[in-house]
Amino acid sequence: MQTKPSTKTNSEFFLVLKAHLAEYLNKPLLNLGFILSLAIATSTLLCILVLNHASEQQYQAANRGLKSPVSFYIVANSGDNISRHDFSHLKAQGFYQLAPIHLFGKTLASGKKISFRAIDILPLVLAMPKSFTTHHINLSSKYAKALGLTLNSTTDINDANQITLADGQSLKVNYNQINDWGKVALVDLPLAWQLFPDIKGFSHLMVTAISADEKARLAAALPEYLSIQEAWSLEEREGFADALHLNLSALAILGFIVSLFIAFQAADQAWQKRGELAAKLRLLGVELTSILKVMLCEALLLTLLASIIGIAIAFALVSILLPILGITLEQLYQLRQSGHFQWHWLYSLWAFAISAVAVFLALLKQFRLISSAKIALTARIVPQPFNYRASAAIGVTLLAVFLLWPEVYGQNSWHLLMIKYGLLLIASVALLPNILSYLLKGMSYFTRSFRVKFVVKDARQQVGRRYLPLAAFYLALTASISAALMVNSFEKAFTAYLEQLLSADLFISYNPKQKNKVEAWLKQQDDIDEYVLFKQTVAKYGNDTLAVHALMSAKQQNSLLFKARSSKQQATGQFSCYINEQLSLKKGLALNEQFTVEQGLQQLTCTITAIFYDYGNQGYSVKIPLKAQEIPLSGWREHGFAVYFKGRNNLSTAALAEQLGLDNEQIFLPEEIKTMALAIFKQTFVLTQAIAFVLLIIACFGLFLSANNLELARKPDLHILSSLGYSRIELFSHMLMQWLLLAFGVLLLSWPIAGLLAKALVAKVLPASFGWSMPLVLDIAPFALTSITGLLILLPALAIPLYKLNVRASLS
Amino acid sequence: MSLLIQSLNHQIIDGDNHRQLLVDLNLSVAPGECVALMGDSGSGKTTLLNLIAGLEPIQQGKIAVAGISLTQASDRQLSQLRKQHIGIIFQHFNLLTSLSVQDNIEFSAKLAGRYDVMHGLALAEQLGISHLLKKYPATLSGGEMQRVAIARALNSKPKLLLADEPTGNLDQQNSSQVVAQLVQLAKSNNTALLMVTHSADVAASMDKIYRLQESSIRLVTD
Repeated sequence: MQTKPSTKTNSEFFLVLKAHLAEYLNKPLLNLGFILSLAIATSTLLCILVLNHASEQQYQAANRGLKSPVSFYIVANSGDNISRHDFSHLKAQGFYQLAPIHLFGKTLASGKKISFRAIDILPLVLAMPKSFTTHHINLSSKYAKALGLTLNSTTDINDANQITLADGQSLKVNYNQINDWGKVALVDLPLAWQLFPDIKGFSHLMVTAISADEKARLAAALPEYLSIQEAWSLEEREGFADALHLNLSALAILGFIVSLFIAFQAADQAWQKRGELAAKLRLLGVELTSILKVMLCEALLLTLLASIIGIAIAFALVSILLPILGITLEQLYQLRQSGHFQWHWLYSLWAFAISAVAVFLALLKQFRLISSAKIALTARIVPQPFNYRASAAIGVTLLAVFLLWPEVYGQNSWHLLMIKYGLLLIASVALLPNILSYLLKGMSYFTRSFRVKFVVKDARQQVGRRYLPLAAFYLALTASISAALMVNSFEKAFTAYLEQLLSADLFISYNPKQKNKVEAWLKQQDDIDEYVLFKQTVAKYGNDTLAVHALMSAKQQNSLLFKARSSKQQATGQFSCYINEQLSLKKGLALNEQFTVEQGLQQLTCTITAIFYDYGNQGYSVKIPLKAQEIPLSGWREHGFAVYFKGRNNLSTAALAEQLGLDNEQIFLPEEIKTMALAIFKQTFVLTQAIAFVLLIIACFGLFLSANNLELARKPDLHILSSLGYSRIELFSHMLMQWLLLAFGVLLLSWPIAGLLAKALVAKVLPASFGWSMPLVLDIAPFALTSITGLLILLPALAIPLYKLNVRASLS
Repeated sequence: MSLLIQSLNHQIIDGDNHRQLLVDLNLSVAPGECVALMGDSGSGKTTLLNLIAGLEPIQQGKIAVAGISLTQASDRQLSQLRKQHIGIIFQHFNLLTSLSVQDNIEFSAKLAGRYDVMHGLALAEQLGISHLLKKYPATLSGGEMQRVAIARALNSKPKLLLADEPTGNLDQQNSSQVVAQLVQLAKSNNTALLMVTHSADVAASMDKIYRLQESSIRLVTD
C-alpha cells in the first residue's frame, strides 16, 4: 500500500476545481446562454454609455466649433454706413478688436445678383497665398457655379478670369476652391472702394470676444448713431441637443437597470445549476470555503469572458449607431462630424465592472443559499419558496421613499429627480409579484371553466419562479414605452410650436436702407392679409438679460404657444406682458404678478398675463402686446416682416428678392424652415428610439433564455399532466397561456408606470435641467405599438423553448 | 465505538405542530459491525442519518463518530468529520456525473488525504467494476452506479459507513449482490455500517437489526 502525502487545503481546492472544470469539459455549451446574455446585457449598457460619452465629447467639440469668434457687431442705427472716421476714432481709443466689413450686392450681366463681402483680406492671403489675392475679386467654385459662371480652373492666380456686371464694368476674378465663406465673393476693402466708388465706409464692424467691462466701455464710447448688435447664436439648437443628451442619459440609467437585471437573472440561473454539485460536494465533506473559492474563480473567468464578448458586441453596435449620432449632430449644427470614437481603456473597465456586479451579486445570493440551506441526503439544496411578504415590504418601503422624496428644481437637480423616479420603477418591480399574484387570484375567482381555472391557478403558483425574467421584461417594456411617449410628446409639442411660431407665409429681413422699398412693396400688394414687423430690444431683470419683443399685431400674439394665461381683466393704463416658461420657473414668477425690467434709467413695470412655451431656448424672453413706440424702452432693432397672404400664394422668393433688390437669403418661406426643423427633429430621436428598441430585444433575449431554463426545470410537472392525458398541443397551449397571462399582467402595470416616468421626464426633469418643459401627450399609439412589439418579440422567445420541451417530453 | 448515540431527542415542526420524532434514543455501532435500521415511512430513519452525518443540528443528546462529538461542532468541523471518518452511500447514488468512474472513486480518498491507487483498484476489482473505470456515470446501469458509490465511500477508509436505502433503486438480484459485497467490504475494512432499509432480506444480511417505532429504537435481532 502506498499513500501519497498531500497538502490538504490545496488538494481540496484543486479537487473541487477539477469537478467544476469537468462540468465544462463534458458539456462544452454549459453556461453559454448565461455568458451570451451577460455579454449582450453588458454590451447594451456599454453601448449606451459609450454613445453617451461620445455624444458628450462630440457636443463639446461641436460647441467649441460653434462659438463664433464674433462676439457682437457695431451697426449704424439710421441705416447709413459707418464712416472711416468712426472706425479710426474707435481704434484710437484702444479698441483694437474691431474688424471692418462691408456687405454689398451687384447685378451681373446675366441678370443674376452677386453678393460681395469686403474685408481686410491680407490675413487670408498670407495664410493661403495660392487661393486668395488682394488684387482681384475672390470667388469660390461653388458660388461661381451657383451664379452660372464658367471659369478657367487652370488659370494662374495673377492671370485672372473676368466677369462682367450689368452696367458693363469688367472685374478680374480669382477663382478658388475654398467654399467656407458661403455665397459671397471676397474682396479687399481698399479694392472694393477703388472698384465701386459708390461704396462708402463700412456696413458694420465685427468685434471679437471682449470682457464685459471692455464691452461697456465700447458701448459708452459709441456715438449715438451707432449701436451694438449681438451676434446670431445657436442657442435654440443647443437646447435641443442638450435635450437629446438628457434623453440618452435617462435611457442609460434605465438601460443600466434593465441590463443589470437581465445579467443578474442569467447569472442566478447559472449558479442554481451549481447548487446540485455543491450539495454533493458538501455531502462528501468539502468545506464551504473551498466551494466558495472555486465559485469565485469560475465567476471571475465567466465575467472576463462575458466582458470580452460584450466589448466586441458593443464595438459592432456602436459602429452602427454612432454614424446616426454623427448625422444628427451634422443636422443640428451643420457641422461635419466624423461620427467615430476612440476606445478608452475605461470602457473595458466599465464592461468588466458591469458583468462583475451582476455575476457576483447572483453568486452572493446562491452562496448564501448553499451555506444556509438544508442539504438533504438526496444531494439537493431544498429551494426556499418565494417570499412575497419581503418583496411587498421592499416595494412599499421604496414607494414610501418615493412619495416622501422632495421634488427640488435647483440647478443640476435632474439627477435627484431621476433617482426619485428610479425608486418608483424599482418599487414597482418589487411589487410586481404581489400584483401579478392578486391579479391571477382575481381572475381565477371569475373563471368558470375548469381548464382555464387550472391554467390561471397554476400560473399564480409560477409567479415566484418566473419573477426575475418577468421583471426584466417589465423593466424593458416600461423603459421602451416611456421613451416612445417622450419622443411622441417631443414631436407633437415641437410640431405645434413650429406651426404657431412659423405661421407666416413669408418672412422678409432687410437692412435699414432696404426697409422703405420693402415696406412700399408690401403696401401695394392686394393679396396680403397682414404684414407684421418684428422688433426686439434687451433689458435687465436683476442681473439677468432679457430679450424684449414687441407684439405688434394679433397674429404675432397668436403665434405663441401658451402654457398658462390669466383670465383677469387688465386695469387701464397698466402694461401686460407674457414671459417665457424659463423665466417663470427659474425666477419663480407667476401669473398676475408685477414684473419690472430695467434699461439703464428706464423702467417698465408690467403684469404677467401669460406664460408661453419656449422650447430649447436657454435665455429669458418677455413679449409685450403693444407697438414698440408705446413701450417705455429704447434700443429697438427691427428683424423684418412676417407676411400673411389672404389665400394660397405661389410667390417665387428668388423673383421677389430680385424685384426688391434683396439677397436670396433675406427672404425665406417659414414652411420650408418648418419642414427642415422637423426633419432634424426626427433624426435627433432616431438614436433614442434605436436604443429603446435594442433594450426591448435584449430583455426578450433574456426572457428566451429564462423561459428555456424554467420550462426545462418544469419537465416533471408536465410529465404528470401528460400522464393524466394532456396531449402535447394541450401542454403547449397550457404553458403558453400561462406566460401570456403573466405578460398581460406585466403590461397592465407597465402602462401607468411608463406614463408616470415619461411625465417625469418631460414635465419635471426637463425644467430641472433646462428650465423649459413640454406637455406630455398621452396618445395610445406609443403604448400600443411598443406593447405589441414587445409581445411579438416575446412570442418566439417563449414558443421555441416550449416547443422544444414538449416535442421531447416523454414519460420516461 | 465507531458510532455512539446517547439520549438523543429530536423534534420536527409540522405546520403549527411540534412533533417529537426521536425520544431518548441510544445506539452504538462497533468497528466492522453491520447494522440495519428499519422503520415505517416518517418514523425518522433519514432524519437520524442526517443527524449522524452532521447535516442537521443536534437539538438534544449526544452523537459521536470515531470518538468525535458532533454536538457542538462547527460547520467546518462537521465537514472534516464527513471527509475523514464518514462515508455515505445514497439511494440515488449521487455520483459526480462529469467525472469518470475512476475519478469518482478517487475523489473522496483524495479529499480525505488518503489517496492510494492500489486500494482504489482493489475495491473496484472486488466490486467487479474495474472494466468501467474510464466510463462516465451516465452510461452505467443502476447496479453499476451503486457499486461505484460503494467503492467511492470505502476508498477514503472511513470509520463509519452510512447507507440510505442503497438498494432502493436496484432489482432483487442486483440488490442481493450489492449488499453482500458491501457487508463483506465493510467487515474486511473494519468499517462500521449503518444501513437504512425497508427490505427484510437486506436487513437479514446485517449483524443487528434495529427498528425505529413511535419515536424510539428497538433491537429486533442480534
